[in-house]
Amino acid sequence: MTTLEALAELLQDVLADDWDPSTVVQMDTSFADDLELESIEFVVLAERIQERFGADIDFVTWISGMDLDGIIGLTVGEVVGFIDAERARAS
Amino acid sequence: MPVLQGPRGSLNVVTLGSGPPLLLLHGLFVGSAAQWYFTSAPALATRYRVIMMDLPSHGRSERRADGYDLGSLVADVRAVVEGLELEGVRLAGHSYGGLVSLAYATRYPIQQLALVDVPLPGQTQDAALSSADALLDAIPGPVREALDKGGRRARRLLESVGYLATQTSLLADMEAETAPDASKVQCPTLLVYGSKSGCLDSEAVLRASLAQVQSVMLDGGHFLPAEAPEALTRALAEFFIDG
Repeated sequence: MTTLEALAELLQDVLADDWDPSTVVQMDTSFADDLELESIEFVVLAERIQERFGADIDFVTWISGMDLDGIIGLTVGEVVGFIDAERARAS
Repeated sequence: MPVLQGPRGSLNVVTLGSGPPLLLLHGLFVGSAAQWYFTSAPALATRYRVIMMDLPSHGRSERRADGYDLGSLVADVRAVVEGLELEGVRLAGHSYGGLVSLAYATRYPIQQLALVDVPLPGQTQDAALSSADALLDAIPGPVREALDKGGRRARRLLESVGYLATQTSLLADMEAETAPDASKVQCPTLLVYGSKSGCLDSEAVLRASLAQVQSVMLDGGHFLPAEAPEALTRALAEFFIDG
């Protein structure tokens, strides 16, 4: 499973009943503009990312270095890029 | 993300880091654990086990129609402290979450307390609740952008605020509340207020009545976690980590 597929799976899990089955998660999908994630849902997603990808990454520290606009404007591709880069560095 | 059973329903709790426990409480209506998670929590988590709870009917905690008086909300916080078996707790809270933190500290011993732009009942007139326009003015920038844009987030936010304002006793409970006796607080306390906040009269009263108090004034209004996250994080880190 690619990181993109794994992230799409986590998103579906976080949004649960609110997940639209017609949604296609792509690298340029925005968490705010396209998926319309609430900030507390982004917290849940951050925790799921940390659980899924383990000790290799520090997702929260990464996003805490951004201002709120930066976090809100994140795309799926940017998160995938971060996860892959951190895992590559750790391995 | 653990869910704990509180005295009046389930409470959603998020934690970061390890060390002595530091519990952070958000403000009402538009607040949730996310308010701290994306701002001050990561820096504080370098030294502490930072615990952020969603207050009842906020974030992912269970909704309830009543029980928004300070006594009930302190009981919710106590349930988290006991449920997670926290010892030597430190507390920080913004706005009404800070008022709950203050009330908690008058009833239970804690190590340190930080109050961020807390309006004291009977002291600060909550101008935001005086008219619909004032309420809209009081909404922090990022939240207002979501509302302006419309869509799912705006729909959910309006539904949540509408529920709190019209289907619960929250506003009536806030109106009926009296200020906790701050002179009963035994621990070092930090006051952080915005220089343009409408709550500065409460800062003066608290500064005069708290036994061990230091005060920091930041450039900003009431919503410091959104308006001045870096300066707020620095102030909290200096108090909890360097102090």
